[in-house]
Amino acid sequence: MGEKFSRRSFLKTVGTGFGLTTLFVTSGKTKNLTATTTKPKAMLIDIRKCIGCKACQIACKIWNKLPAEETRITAENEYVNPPRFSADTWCYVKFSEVREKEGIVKWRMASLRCMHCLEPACVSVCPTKALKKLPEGPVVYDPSRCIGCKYCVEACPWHVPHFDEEKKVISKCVFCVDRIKAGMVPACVANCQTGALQFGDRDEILEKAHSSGAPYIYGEKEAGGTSMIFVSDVPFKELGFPEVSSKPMETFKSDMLTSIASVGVIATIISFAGYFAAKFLRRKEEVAKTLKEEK
Amino acid sequence: MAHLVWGWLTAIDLFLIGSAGGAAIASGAAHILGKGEYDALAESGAYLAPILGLASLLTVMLDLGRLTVAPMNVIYVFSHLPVSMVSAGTVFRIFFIAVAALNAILWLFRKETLINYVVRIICGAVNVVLGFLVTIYPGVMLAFARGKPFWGSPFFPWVISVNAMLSGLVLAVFAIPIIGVFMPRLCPSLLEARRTVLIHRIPERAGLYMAILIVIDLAFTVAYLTSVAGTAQYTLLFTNFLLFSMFWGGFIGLGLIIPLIVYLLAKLRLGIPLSVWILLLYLCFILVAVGSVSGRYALLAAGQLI
Repeated sequence: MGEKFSRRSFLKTVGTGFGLTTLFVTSGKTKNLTATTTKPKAMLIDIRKCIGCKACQIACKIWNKLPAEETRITAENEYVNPPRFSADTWCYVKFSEVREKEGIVKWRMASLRCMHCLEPACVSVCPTKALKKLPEGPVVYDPSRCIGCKYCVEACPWHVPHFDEEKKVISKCVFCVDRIKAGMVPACVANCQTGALQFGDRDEILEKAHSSGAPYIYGEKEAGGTSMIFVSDVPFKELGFPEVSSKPMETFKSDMLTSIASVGVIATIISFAGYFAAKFLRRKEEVAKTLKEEK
Repeated sequence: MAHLVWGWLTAIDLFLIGSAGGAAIASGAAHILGKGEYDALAESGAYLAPILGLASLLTVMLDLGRLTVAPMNVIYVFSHLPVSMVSAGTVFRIFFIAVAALNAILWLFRKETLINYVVRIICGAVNVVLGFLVTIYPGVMLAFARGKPFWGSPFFPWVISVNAMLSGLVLAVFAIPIIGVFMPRLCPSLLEARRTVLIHRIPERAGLYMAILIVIDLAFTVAYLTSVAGTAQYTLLFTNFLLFSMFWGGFIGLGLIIPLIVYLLAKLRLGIPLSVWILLLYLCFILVAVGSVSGRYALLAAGQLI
């Protein structure tokens, strides 16, 4: 136990040191990415290249000053630690065990964060406009307008926003908007050692995704398109990615509203038909009774 | 039970605002279509609607996560009209409570003049429309939550809405003898109802509408459950003990099936005195209200788990 703990502490120290060094080195790089343009940005996440080192996870924690969480590794979540998004975890690496045909098992790792949808559900449902979609791509949050209704938490198809009950604030990945605006790449991309994470204009990223030779692409059309484009050699369903329809949020809402109204109209017609049928039958019975009495 | 983002307070809020809308619909319909025979129901519904509406507003305020940190932020709630259902719903609520309060004042200080009568009719009609909006909007709001496929069915808002009308109706009928006892001088029609045969006729008639609404609600519930049968959350209604008891036991059993059976048996009479059936009907009204809260919590919780 003691040995395990010290090994973890050692790895944490090394990881943090490594992350900080990389961040400082890369923060000096000015790639002139977006300082002057407002072309929407995106990230390419190549699952085939990810080795699950979690450098992106650590870099996110460091850059955004997010505290560590006390978590447990269980049989259910295996190496995924922390196992899901939380107010203090904006980025994590999901490990998936994929079974191949001949009984061979292979690992696939996916670095996950807010999808920064082109038409975000969280922005659409927010009553106070505390959540905003910026032209550069990030979906950001303004606590000075939030009332804490938590509708965004329920609306996101990827369960990204979380409400921090202690700090009373919504918390989620902001796509390192400060770095992007300064012409730098997000902290997670800057720290990726294998090139599994790449950053650029959404058009270029999509082009890269299509020319990568990967048979499966996720994020291009889901929820009307997102800023996170995943490429993989295994179906995303096997990696536990949710199936989200390609309808943008506004289309989803108007379609739902039309269906609700249609159900209401049909139910009203049926109810009235039933009411008049019952009335007709009762009248018929009454007439028959009167006739019988007259006879 | 895992931590729920929307828990008991939200369920109670949905129950209160729905019942307020339902009471307003019952009141308006009884006044406009009742030919003066059901004024006691119209009056009790008119008093109940703003009270329940205000109670729901208080509950929703307590449910807000940032009320203690930034209370003034609530002024931004109308910023995203008409896109956000929370913004739209808040407008519906506020207009509804305002009109319901005006309606209650008109009933409280009513005079047998034509103007007073006409204004009450108009107020009642407006309140029926607003009452319908506040009964259906919570379901629409939940159906728009894209991340929760269990609520994403076009039948879901109707299950919530019809159940809200049902709970509003039974609470309004239940309130007649209570208000009649505590405010007899202020509410002559309630006092009159308490003294005369109307005390029997109103619950009997309300029992019929209760039965009709129960049948409609059951039909919508069956259609809704069929439409979401593929979701993981649906299985929770069978596998999770708390949700199973609250949904099948509380909502379907106590809240819908038992009151329907009692009403149908009451119609047959079976040699049992009328006063006993009336008492049983009143008991059913309580069951409907309890089932309504139970069902809202079960549906709300099941949608958020997994």
